[in-house]
Order: sequence, then structure tokens, then C-alpha cells
Amino acid sequence: MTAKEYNVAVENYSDNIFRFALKHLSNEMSAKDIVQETFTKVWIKHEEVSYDKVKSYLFTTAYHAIVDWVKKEKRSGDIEHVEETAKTPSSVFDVRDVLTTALNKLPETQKSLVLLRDYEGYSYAEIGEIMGLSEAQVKVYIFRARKALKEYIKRLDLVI
Amino acid sequence: MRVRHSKNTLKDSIWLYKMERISIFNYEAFYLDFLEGNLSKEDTVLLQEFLEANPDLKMQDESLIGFDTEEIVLDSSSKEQLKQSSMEDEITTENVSFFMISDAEGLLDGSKSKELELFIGHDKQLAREKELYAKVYFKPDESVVFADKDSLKRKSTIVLWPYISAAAAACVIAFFLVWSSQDNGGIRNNNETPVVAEDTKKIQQEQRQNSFPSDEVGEKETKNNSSENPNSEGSKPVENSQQNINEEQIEVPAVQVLEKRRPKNLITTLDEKQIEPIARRVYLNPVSVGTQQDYAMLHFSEMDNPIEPITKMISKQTNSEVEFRRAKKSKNKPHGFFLKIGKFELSRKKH
Repeated sequence: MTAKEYNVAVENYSDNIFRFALKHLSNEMSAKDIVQETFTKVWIKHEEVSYDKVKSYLFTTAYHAIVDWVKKEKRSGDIEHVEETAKTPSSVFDVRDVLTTALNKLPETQKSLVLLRDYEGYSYAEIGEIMGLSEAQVKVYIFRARKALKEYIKRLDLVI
Repeated sequence: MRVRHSKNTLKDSIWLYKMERISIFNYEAFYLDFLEGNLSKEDTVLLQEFLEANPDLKMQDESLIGFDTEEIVLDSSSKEQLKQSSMEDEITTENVSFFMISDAEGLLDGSKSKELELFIGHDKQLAREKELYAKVYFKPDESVVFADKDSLKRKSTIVLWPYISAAAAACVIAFFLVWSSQDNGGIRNNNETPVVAEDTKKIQQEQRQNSFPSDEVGEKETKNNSSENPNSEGSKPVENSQQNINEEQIEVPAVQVLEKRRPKNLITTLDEKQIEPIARRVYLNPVSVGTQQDYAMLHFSEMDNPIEPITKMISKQTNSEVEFRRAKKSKNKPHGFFLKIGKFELSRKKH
């Protein structure tokens, strides 16, 4: 991948990576750090990565950076604050906010799977490649995540 | 007696050592190993002895022992989650969720989708479930963008050194070209009449004239004698040959600055004969020939010209010969280069 192609990748995919990270971390500053870290790592390897594969390479790198960030924050205890802020949707009746809250309750792996599937439209095989899982595992995790999300909004639906 | 006493002492010390292994600080670890079945029989005995010796810890211990692992069971819904369904299965109340999710994921084909619709039918609860499954999808918020994209971008670097080196080489050649043209002053070489070749030819001709009898002349004489009538006008070979020689001498272009010099090392049988000095250009520089000989030792054919387009261009524009060659060092030949600009020649060998 040339420098020009890399800059095109920045233009095309930096927003996607940012949204992916922001949904995970619910922290704008940390999401920006993840984007910076991801693109820096990809630039280091830009001669080995072809432009066709750069999107999945970016998401793989971002995913691992997020996992590392979550581990680090969990050790320091800051993640609790993030989860608390993420728990409070602006409006209880807004399905999108409710879903975001439900998403934050999912395990990190399932959260990533759902976001890659819904935001980027990746197939199970592609998600498996990005996250280092088999296609069957991806399918099982996504089904579990859908079920969990459905149960969450169903509970609220009954309350409302 | 003494032996028995010593044996008892040893046993006591081993028992004390073992008892010291388990203390109030580490007994929980031993107990967890016991619960997991990883504690050896010896350590289990020690743990029991420790708990008997510390009855205040026994309450906690009992509460742990009272926790029956058989009571831990996985609920039926969790078990159902672990079960794998396939698309070929018949839709039932147990696996309907799987087909609802599959439908929402777009994995069901037309026939299976219709089968699901038929199964749900007028069941409001199932219809609501299906509706909820369709809702648990996320759409990216396009308004959320990464603002600082410029900080991520990289400037492409152009490798300039080949261009810089080519330009430097061109400058060096141009410098030599200008310098050599100034250095030559009034003595400029006429390209149409190559100096070295012409002079060499002329000297050879003059040497031939002086070093007679030559075979060629002798042959001519024989021919003339045999084919022509000796009574005819052309029957005077000596005069004819002299006349031819005179004609050849007339054909030699005039040289402005000449130096008369007696030829050296001229082997002739007519040493006694008065030999005319030959004409030779003064500015013929033997050093340049010597340089070319040195250069020849550098395997000219194996030398390459890395800046051929530049030398050609300069040669064309200045209307003079510009040549640059270089040779890389190997086992048999030295490293060196050769530069020729007009009359100026420079070569160098490096071992």
C-alpha cells in the first residue's frame, strides 16, 4: 500500500474505526486514542498490507487495541465509571439509546461481533478473521448477543 | 532407649514441619485444593488436623463443606442455548428463536421463511418476539466522525538521490566542458579532420616514401615494365614513381604550423641517401594517446556509461565528443573511470 492509498484509507475508514471504538468505550478521548494507535500501527506495516485488505486489517488492529484498553482500564478501575456513564441514556423511550445500553451490557467479544456485523456489514467469516474466531463461533456468539439484546428491550417494553 | 527417643524426636520434628506448612494464612488455598480434589491424602490429613487444632476456623469451614456441588445445575434455558440447531430442523417452540434470529440475519431461504410465518401464525406473543428480534440491530450514526484526519495522514516521500546524483554528474561534465574549451584557447580541433588519424596516416605515407624501395612501388614498377611498351613515354619507372610521389605530396593538405624533424628509428637500406625531414604537427599530444592506452587496460567494452542520455545531450548541444565510462572493481580488473570532453580526456584506475 502506498502513502497515497494509506491516506485514502484514512479518509474512508477513520470514521468507521472511531464509531466502532466509541461504541465500545463510550469515551471520546479514548476512542480517538484508539484511532491514532490503529492507524499508526497500520502505517508501520503499510508496505506489507495491500489496499484491498486494509479495512479488515484496520478493524483487527482496532479490535485488539480496544481489548488491550479494556484490560488496562479494568485493572485500574476506570472502566466502572465509563460503564456508569454509558448506562444513562438520554431518553428511556429512545430505542436506540436503550439498545446502546443493552450493547454495553454484553461481553466485549459479543459487542465487537455485533458492531462489526451491523456497522460494517461483515460476514461471519470476515468477522472471524478479524477477531481470530471460527465462523461457527461467530455465529453462536451473534445469536446469543441478539437474544440478550432482545431480552433487554423486551423487559423495558413490559415496563413501559 | 536412646534410639527410640531419637526416632520420636524425628517424627515430632517432621510433624511440626508439616503442621507449619498449613497456617491461618494459607489454609484456604489447601482447602480449595481439597474441594477441587487436588489435595494429596497426606495434605488432607494435615488439613483436618489443622482444622481440629483451630476450632475458630471450623465455622467457616463447615459452611464451605455444607455447600453441595450437586445442587449446582444449569437451568433449562441455558441448556437450550448450548444446543445447536440447523436450518434443516423442523420449527418447534424450542427452536423458534433460532429461526427468528436466522430470519432477521437474512440466513433463511424463502421456503423456510414461509414455514416460520406459518408457525407463528396468529400467535401474538411469537409475532412480538419476531418484531423485537428485528429491532436489535444497530445503524451507524453518520454524524459521528473523526475530526482530526489530517493528523493521521502521511506525506509521501520522493527518493531524490538518483535525480540529485544525475544532476551533479551533469554539472561536473558541464564544468569540464567549459573548462576544457577555455583551456584550449586558440588551438581548437577541427572535427572534420581528425588530428591523430590524419597525422598518423601522413607520417606513414612519408615514411613509405622515404623508406624505399617499398614493395608496393616495386610491384608498380614490375607491372609497368611488363605491361607497357618500354619505348613508350611511361617507360621511365623511376621518374613515374617520383612523379606519383610528388602528386601524393601535393594532395596532402597544407599544415599551418609545421616542424621539420628527421625521422627517428627509421630502418632503411638507403641510410646513405639524403632523407628529407618529415612534417609533423606540433600540437600532437602523445600524452592523450598514452591515457587512452591506460584506459584500454580498464576493459573498455566492459565499462558502462551510467549517464548516457546526459552525455549524448551535451555532446549534441556542444557539437563535441563527450564520453563517460566507468568500470566496477572485480578480481581481474581495477575500478576506474574515463571522461572525455572534446579533446580533454581524464581516466583513473583504482586498485
